[in-house]
Amino acid sequence: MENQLLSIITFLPLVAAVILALFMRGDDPAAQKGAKWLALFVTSATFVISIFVLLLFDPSNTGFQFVEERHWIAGLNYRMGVDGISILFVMLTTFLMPITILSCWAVETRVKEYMIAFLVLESLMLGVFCALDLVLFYLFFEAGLIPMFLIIGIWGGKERIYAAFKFFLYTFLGSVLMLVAMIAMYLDAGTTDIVKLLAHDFGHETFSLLGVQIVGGLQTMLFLAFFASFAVKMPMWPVHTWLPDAHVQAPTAGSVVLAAILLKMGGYGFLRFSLPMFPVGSEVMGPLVLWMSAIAIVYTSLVALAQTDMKKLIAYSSVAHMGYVTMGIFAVNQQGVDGAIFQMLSHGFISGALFLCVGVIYDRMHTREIEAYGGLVNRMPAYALVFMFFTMANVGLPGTSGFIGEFLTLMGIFQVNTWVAAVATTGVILSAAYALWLYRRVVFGALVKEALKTITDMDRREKAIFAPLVAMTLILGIYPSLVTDIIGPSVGALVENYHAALPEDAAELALH
Amino acid sequence: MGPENHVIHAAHEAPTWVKLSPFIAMLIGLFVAWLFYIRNPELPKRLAAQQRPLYLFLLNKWYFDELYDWVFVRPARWLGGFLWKRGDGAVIDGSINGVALGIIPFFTRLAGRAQSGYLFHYAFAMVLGIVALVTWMTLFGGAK
Repeated sequence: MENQLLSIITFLPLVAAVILALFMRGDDPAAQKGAKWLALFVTSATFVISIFVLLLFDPSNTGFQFVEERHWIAGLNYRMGVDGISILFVMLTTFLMPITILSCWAVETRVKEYMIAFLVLESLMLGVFCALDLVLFYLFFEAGLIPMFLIIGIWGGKERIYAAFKFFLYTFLGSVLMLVAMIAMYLDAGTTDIVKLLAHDFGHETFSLLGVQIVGGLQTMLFLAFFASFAVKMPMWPVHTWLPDAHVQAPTAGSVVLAAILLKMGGYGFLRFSLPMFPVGSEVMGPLVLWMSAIAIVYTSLVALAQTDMKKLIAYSSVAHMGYVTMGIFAVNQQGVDGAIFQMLSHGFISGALFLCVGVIYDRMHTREIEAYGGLVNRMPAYALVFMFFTMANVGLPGTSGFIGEFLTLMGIFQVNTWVAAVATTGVILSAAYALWLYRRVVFGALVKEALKTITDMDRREKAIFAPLVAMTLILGIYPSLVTDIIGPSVGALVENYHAALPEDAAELALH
Repeated sequence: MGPENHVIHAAHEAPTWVKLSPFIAMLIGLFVAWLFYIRNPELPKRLAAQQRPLYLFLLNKWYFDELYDWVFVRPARWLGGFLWKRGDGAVIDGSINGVALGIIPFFTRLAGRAQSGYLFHYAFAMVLGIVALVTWMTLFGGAK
């Protein structure tokens, strides 16, 4: 039973989706209500079961736990398992999905299909974090694009088709290169088992290809191919431009899932594949990635400052926050990687909540233009409070989880590259500038706009959506050991193995 | 703190007038406040009219908000807009759209034109292909 827990939580939403698709008839309000309740019930049940996984999880064991292995097709195995790095992403997903479902209670178009899309998406996201086989991972990773593509393309805004295609093509192009690398890995190691691949030594002798010296050899090539996929997913500057478009056009619930969970697949991929499997490749490309992260933080923060659309502003802020994640990961020390994982979890709560905040007023006014608002505090005090809380968390106010993530990653990177740390720190100032300015323009000032004079405050359902997010942001901000105790040992082992795997002359390999 | 750094110690040895000066400053302030707001409230108005530039300078907090606006706020917003429209819009999306809408259709048209429907065109292409293959085999392939 214990060994099938992961399969149960992964496929439970999918089973519900199939039931909805096959047995739910009609599109009257009663059927819509039924579909929503079923989705809410199943995602909540998934969350409850995942709590058992967390309780049974032994953090001191740095290996994979709850491993399930079955023969699948033609020499491929179905293999699931979690370790300290992936378990909390599973929890993040199961925690956020009921909230996401609850946030689309007001949707009235194609409700059944909407619920099916989210349930399938949950299954696939959980699969990504649990898969212990390359082929299985790739399957979940790629298939996840389809429900998101549909969510943006069907339930999105005016330019949804453009945004959906841009999202799909960007991420797909990166993933194809990853597939090529996976085939190369299989040919080199003779297995697709992630546990065996983690122990496999991929060649790192410099060779020349078409007259170009490839420092770090095969590892660098594989690193770059995986990088193409994860960097787009992350997204890292300069391949981030799909994200603002996708966010602006996606429905609120779609934005929440996209920002809170889908982006984390990139960071998870770096930690599961790039660092442990290609340490020499990572060392060669590391400085470049660090500088790309630093540029991303400053560049996208400045761009966020210039936005006139609330969702776009938050989307750019997401890219900046993901910059801290990649920076922490490629610092490859305990604080850096701890901080990167922490930042991903914290960003999951905060950015999800911020998109929900935009959703609350978008549902009322049907516009995302900052100019259309102002003075909301006069009519919506509860909303103003919640929005203020998450604005502060986004800035990284001490006491919220945003602070811990930023602080740990900056501390990690400072030990590796002080210049990158210095540049990245200016991003903290810029994030305060754009976030507080957004808040002032939307919430404060005089309430002069005629349309806003009858706007109503949040109802009970909306408050219920935010309550768990506020709680998590505070709890993780005040007592971060809850997270670091679970991820710490696995991160420690990852960092240790990484440095042990580097050859003596690794420092000279790095691009400077 | 270095061995030649005696800031903390030196702070004890300030002359007495330094220690007294805050108290005297307070007395001056008290007197001026009394003079301006109790004794003769007309005085500040006249002073403000007489020393207009100085009055405005102080009223606007040394124009620090304006200075910050010019030095930090405006450049940051301009740079943000520039990076957004030019950087993200023109350079990144522009080059990707350029590949997608310019270069790939160019090759598509080229490939389309090769499909002329004339059998001898196709036969000629095959001959060219064979020549290329044989050349490559002779130079690089075979018994190496």
